[in-house]
Amino acid sequence: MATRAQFENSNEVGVFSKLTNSYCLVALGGSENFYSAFEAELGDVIPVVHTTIAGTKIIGRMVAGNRRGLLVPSQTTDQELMHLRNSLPDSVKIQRVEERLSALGNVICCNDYVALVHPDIERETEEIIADTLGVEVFRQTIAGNVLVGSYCCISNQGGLVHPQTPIQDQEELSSLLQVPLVAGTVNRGSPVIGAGMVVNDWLSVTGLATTAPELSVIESIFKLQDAQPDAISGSLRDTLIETYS
Amino acid sequence: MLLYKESSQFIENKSRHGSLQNQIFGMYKHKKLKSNPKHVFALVSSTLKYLKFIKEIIKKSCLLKVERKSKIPPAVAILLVHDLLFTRSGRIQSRQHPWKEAVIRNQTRLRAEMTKLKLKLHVQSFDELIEEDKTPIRWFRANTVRSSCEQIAKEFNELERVYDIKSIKKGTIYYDQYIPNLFGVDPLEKITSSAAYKQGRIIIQDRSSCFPAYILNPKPGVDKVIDACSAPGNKTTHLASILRNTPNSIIAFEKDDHRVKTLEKMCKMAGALGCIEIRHGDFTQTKPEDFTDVTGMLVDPSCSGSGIFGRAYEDNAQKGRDVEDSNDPYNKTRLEKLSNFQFTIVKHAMLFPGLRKLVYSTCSIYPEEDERVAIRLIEDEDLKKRGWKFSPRERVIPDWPRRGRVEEFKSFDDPDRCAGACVRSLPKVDGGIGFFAVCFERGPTVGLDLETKPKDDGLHLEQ
Amino acid sequence: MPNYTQLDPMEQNQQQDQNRATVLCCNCGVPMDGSTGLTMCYDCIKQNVDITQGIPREMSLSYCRNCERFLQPPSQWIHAQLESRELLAICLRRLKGLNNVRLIDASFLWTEPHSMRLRVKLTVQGEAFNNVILQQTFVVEFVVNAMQCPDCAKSYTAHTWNTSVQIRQKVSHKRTFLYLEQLILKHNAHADTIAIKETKDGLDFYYAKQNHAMRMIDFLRGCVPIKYKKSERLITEDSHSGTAKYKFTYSVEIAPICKDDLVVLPKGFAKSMGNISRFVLCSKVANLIRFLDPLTMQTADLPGSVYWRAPFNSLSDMSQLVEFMVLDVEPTGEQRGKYMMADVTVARSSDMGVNDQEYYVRSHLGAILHPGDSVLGYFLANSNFNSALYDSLDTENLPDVVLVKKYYKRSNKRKRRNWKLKRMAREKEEIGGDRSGRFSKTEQQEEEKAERDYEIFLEDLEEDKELRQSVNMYKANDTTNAAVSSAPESDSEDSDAPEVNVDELLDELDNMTLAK
Repeated sequence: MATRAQFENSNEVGVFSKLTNSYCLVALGGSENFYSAFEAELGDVIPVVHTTIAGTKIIGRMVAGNRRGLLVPSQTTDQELMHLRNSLPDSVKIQRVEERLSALGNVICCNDYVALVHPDIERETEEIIADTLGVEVFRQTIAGNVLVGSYCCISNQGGLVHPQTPIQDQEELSSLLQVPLVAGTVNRGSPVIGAGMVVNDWLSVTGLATTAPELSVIESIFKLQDAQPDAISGSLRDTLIETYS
Repeated sequence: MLLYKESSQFIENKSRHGSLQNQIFGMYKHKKLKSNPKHVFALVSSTLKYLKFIKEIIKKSCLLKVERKSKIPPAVAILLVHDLLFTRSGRIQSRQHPWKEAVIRNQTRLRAEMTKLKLKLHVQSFDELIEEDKTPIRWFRANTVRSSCEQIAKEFNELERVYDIKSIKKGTIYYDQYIPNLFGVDPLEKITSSAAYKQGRIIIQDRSSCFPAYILNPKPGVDKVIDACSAPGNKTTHLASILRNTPNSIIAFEKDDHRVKTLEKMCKMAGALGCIEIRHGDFTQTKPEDFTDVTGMLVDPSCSGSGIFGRAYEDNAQKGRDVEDSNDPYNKTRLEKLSNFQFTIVKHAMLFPGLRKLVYSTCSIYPEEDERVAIRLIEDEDLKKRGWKFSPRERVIPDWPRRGRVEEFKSFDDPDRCAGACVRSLPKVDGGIGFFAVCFERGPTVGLDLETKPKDDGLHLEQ
Repeated sequence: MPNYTQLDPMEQNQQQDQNRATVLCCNCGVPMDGSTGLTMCYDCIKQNVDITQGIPREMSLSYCRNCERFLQPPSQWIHAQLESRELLAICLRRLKGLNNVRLIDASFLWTEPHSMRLRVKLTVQGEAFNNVILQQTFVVEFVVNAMQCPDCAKSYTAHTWNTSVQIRQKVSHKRTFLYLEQLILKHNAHADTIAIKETKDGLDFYYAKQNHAMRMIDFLRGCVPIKYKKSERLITEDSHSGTAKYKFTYSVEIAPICKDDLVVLPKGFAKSMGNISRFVLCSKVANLIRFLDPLTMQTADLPGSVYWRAPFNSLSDMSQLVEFMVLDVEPTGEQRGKYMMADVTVARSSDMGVNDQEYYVRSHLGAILHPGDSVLGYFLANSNFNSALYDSLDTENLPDVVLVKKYYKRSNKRKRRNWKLKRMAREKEEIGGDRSGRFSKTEQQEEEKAERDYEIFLEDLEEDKELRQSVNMYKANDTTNAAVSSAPESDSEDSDAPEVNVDELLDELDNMTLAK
């Protein structure tokens, strides 16, 4: 299922929300339409948590997480942390990260098995990512951009990367991530994919400006055509299957 | 951490003598090593195998730069990373230690770099890039001194017999078509734990190294033979088998103290001490006049060992070389020295007055040590006078397809025939080590230009 | 791993270049090269982005149907042929927003003239996104609006002027007016003039207000000896309010005496001006008239106002000058200003080779005359004057010849001067109003005469430094002219012809011909 939404007249839904296979965070202050885009699809499967991070609405850029855990920046207040802890499933580890690059969503891009991170991220953060999210951590750039979280979006099924990513890089990333990748855009040609959309294994939400060809690319690469939450959870892999291309 | 510290000396490129195994166990014996030498050997040999990759991973992850404060010696870091990434347990065998912690701190990054390196090299596992170090087929020979071919065949009858060398796999056995009493099995077959091996009824010997004794083919009761460079004794015991353990029919020379013991052990194991007289000394110092009764000779002098693949990694690590190349100046001088030595020892052997037949063999794949030595010998005036000639192909395992290199014999009238007199095998391709053997004969009934004699004048065991 | 982008069968050439990532156009989904940084294919960009935004597609042009001129805003009316470069320039200048894009090409699409539409095809380049240059071709339609230009409007509107100044000089040439024109231009005295019309013997100036006309007259009075008369004509009268509307006409007459005219002064004037000889040459005409006695070099000024108390005519004017050849010059040593007295032996040029008649003349031109020069003078010996003043003169003592000025032979080439004058735009008074007679013989002759007059005026300027000072002269920026004039081949015979120093010239202004 691929839907389109807008947050306060902005198409950058990835900035104002965070979607994983076990929870969804949405920023406070959106319209009911925005919330219903998530709640309609996720309401009875995973919690949709309305929150701020460090008092801001740009939660999608501030946090990084997957099915197993959630990393929040050090600026996150105790109340917010408490609220998240109370709202998220117990299986989800929440970790506050002391990191100079505090917009974790911009510097970390992960699915349930692999995380790509900014090359300058601190080593301790790398370890935390590996421990909390249970992923292999690779320092990478995407099409020469260090903000991997901004310029790509991956799920356990596939990934969409910056349109200028060369084929070799795509292949390298694809074998790192163990998922097919494609270069593309969201929001009518925006290369800032991480900011323009959120995705998990059965739902993607993109900005309202996203065109039909973009949506079809997103649907096919993330295998969203007939994806169902229960079908996905059955096929979740806990170990990385080594099928290098 | 002691284990790693002690092992690290073997990682560093220090030129030492002897195989890695000998070094480690030697040091252990001299109380220079406190750790379990088996652990050290396992760790070092495996690390050396992956050394190239480990170094790359450490370089990419900037481990030594990031952990500058803990001052890990690079060699120790290599060992630690090896244990972290390349062992099944992924555990560093040490108690709390700042070096261990430093490596563990970086394990995410190290693992990431390992995965990246794998991707870069397009492999699932680094093992794909490690050249298969093992022999493709485990050859063993029935020791007819202690047993017989039929008995051995019966003993291994739970293995299915196959008739093609290519179809050998676990659970099958192959009876060799060239060498009698020789069997081939998959290397995974646990031959060394079998009773037959332990009791010396079978001897593990590569097929190619069975060639010299078989080519020499002395007659029991008639011939007396010398094995000029006998340790570890596989060929010597093979001779003993062929000579049906006839007393006082074999003299085995060995100059090295240590290897003499191995030789003795092997001969004892094979139960062939009755026929083998072991002489601890340099063969080249012998006086040919003292051995007038000797009619056959086996000369397998020291060589580059380029046909052998088992020792490659440790050797390379110690020499600091990746590939053995005969064009390498180091190798070139070495080969020159070796071939001179080989020529000298064979020539010395050919001066024995009663000698009729001599087999020269090496486990080398370089023509410098193979055909060229043979050519030097056959062209030597002294030896020409004594009537030494190549044995014709008809009497040198005629069915074996891989013969000498024709291009080396270009100066001869009949290069094909001369090349045909030599027997060669390539490592792995021919199901074992690389090998070279050539037979020289003299006397009224021998020589290339003579009629083919039926080769039934030797001992044959029925299969 | 399946490479999704390569599954597309349309991208055959993609396989050749593995380095390029393919992205789908975000608008139409067509595969394209992603490495360029584009996220939309060219076609979609063309469809979605209009770089010509802000450039109007329909404009109007003003066109005066009467004088067939197009308006170039703000107020210029320009003659332009259909499909001409000038018209294209006018059209493009009208288009707003063209400075945001780069104009590559512009051309007219043919339209029927009576459709009153001009279609201009423009090709422009502009930046669509951060690094995409688009080229777009489009057509702008100009509607030609017929309207009257102010000039035509004026000419068709009666009663626009209130006062006219009619300047007349009853002489056969126009040189005085040419000089006056330059003076007017120099002092911008025609600023308030609505219209200037050329008539026989003079010019008519039209003004909207009476005081504008008065200012013009004051200006004229400072320049030339004039007298004027005012008359008025009642146009309307409102008996109820007591207001009336008049048209005023000032009839201005300029003294008919011009420079180099031969004059016989009335006895009274001659006595009052230092008892100068009555038989004199006019050497200068400004707001006073200066006379020169060629035999004594005595000069005398006659103010215009005095002249008009008892106006008299000249005895003979420039048209009567005869060319003489100087045979000998004997300076007497007497000198006054630029003049030097000399005894000159001359012979009539037309007599050369016919007879040996020589004349021994006293002349004020001793400084510039050399034997062999040509000189113009009045040939009194064979002249017959019909003048009461002449009759009253003692003709016995008159010289046979009065030399007036040196004559420079100018080749045609010399006419290409390195300077030029500004002219006033003016219209001719249509005599009879019949346009078909435009090329009648008399008119042609008149035109030729006007040209000749102008040429003489220019020569005068060249010869007279004093005259030049009262006139604005401009550099002729025609390079071919300069090349010719500077060429050494200019003949030796006229090498001594006076030239105008470049330092005296002004840089040319944009518009030499001023609007009326």
